Amino acid sequence: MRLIIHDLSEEYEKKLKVNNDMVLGNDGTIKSCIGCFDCWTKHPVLCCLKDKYSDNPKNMQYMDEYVIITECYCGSYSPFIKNILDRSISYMLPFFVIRNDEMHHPERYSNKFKLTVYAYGNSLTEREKATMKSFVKANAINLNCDDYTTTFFQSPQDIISLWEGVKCK
Amino acid sequence: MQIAILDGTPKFKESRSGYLINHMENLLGGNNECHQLKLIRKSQWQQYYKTIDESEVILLVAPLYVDGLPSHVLDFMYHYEKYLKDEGKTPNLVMYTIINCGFYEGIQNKIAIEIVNNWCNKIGITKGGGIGIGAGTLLATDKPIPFTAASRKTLKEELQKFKELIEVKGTKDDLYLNPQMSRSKCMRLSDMYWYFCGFANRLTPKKLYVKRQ
Ligand SMILES: Cc1cc2nc3c(=O)[nH]c(=O)nc-3n(C[C@H](O)[C@H](O)[C@H](O)COP(=O)(O)O)c2cc1C
Repeated sequence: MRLIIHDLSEEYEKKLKVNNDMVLGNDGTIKSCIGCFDCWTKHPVLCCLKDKYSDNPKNMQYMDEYVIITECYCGSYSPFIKNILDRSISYMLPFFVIRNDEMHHPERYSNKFKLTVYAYGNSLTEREKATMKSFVKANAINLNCDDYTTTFFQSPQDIISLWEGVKCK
Repeated sequence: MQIAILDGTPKFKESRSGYLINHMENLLGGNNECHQLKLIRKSQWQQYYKTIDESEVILLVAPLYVDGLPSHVLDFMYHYEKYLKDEGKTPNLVMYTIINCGFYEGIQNKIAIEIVNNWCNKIGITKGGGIGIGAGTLLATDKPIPFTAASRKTLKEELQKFKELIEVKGTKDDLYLNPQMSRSKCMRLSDMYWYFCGFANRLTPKKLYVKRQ
C-alpha cells in the first residue's frame, strides 16, 4: 500500500489516489502536536489528540511507499505536513539504537518502505533545496527506509501533471 | 535592549526549552528586557508580532521534532513573514537559536538551525548564530541544578559565551554540542527514561513495544 500525505487543495486530492492508496490531506481540522509522548508511554501508537490524523502512525505499518507532497518552506516541509510527521513518531519505538554511527530509534513494525518526497515552491533558493534534501535524508535514516528520493517542482500543478502521466502508463 | 524569546516547545511544564530559557533569561535579564513568547498560543500571535517589532534581538529556543522544527514554530514563521509583507515592514533584528534534541549528537539539530538560517535570509534579518544541544532530554535528569553537572560543563560555558555574543548583537558560526558522557551511557540513561515514563503510566516495558494493528 502507498500512503500519501499532501498539503494540496481538495481539487488536486481527487487526482492523487490510485487503486488502494491511502491519501491524507489538509481539511483544516488538524490539531498541533503537544509533545506529550503519550503515544510512546501511555497508549503506544495512539496519538492523544483526537482527529482524523491520530491513526497515521498505526497505518504506516501497512505501507511500502510513503509519498509526501509538500510545499518547501525555508528547506522544511510545510507546517501541516510537519505536524503529521510530528504526530507519527510512535511508528518507531522510543528506545535507542546506533544507525549510521548516530543515535536513532529502533523499528516497531517490520514493513520496509521507500520515502518519496515531492517538494514544490516557485522561488526556492539552492540553499533551501539543499536543506530539504538533507531533511529527507535524515528522516529516511531515522525511519530506516529502504530508499528515498526528493524531487522539486515549481507548483502543485507540475506534480499533478507528472502524477497523471505516470498513472496513464 | 529588548529581546523577544520565542519559546518553541508546546509543553507548559517541565520542558527542556523552558530550562534553557530560564537560564538564558537569568544571564541576560540584568541589562536587558526579555519577553517570553510561547508560540503554541496561536491566539497571541498578533500581539507577539508587535513585541518582536519593538525588539532588537530574537532568541528562539525549541526542541528538535522529527529532524526539524516543531510544526507550530514553522507555522509561526510562515505567518510572521506574511505579516511583514502585509505591513510592508523590514525589521532590523538579529536572530539567535538554541535547539535541543533527544539523541546524543548535537549535530542532529543542524537541519533545524539551517531552516532558521534560511528564514533569516528570506525575511532579511541578520543570523547571529545557533547552538544545537545533544541529549537535551537528559537535562532534566540532572536536576536540581542541571548546568552544574559535569556532563554539561561545556554547555554551560558556551551559553555564557552566547549571552555575551547576544549582548553585543554579534555573529558566530553555528555550534553543536554533545554531553560530556559516553554515548553508551547516554543511551542507557535515555532508555531508562522511557521505562520510567511507562511505569509512571502503569505500563510494563513489554507493553511499550506493543504493535497496535
Ligand atoms: C514529536 C517529537 C519528535 C521528536 N523528534 C526528535 C528527533 O527527530 N530527534 C531527536 O533527537 N529528538 C527528537 N525528539 C525529542 C525532543 O527533541 C527532546 O525530548 C527535547 O528534549 C524536548 O524538548 P522540550 O522539553 O523543550 O520540548 C522529538 C520529540 C517529539 C515530542
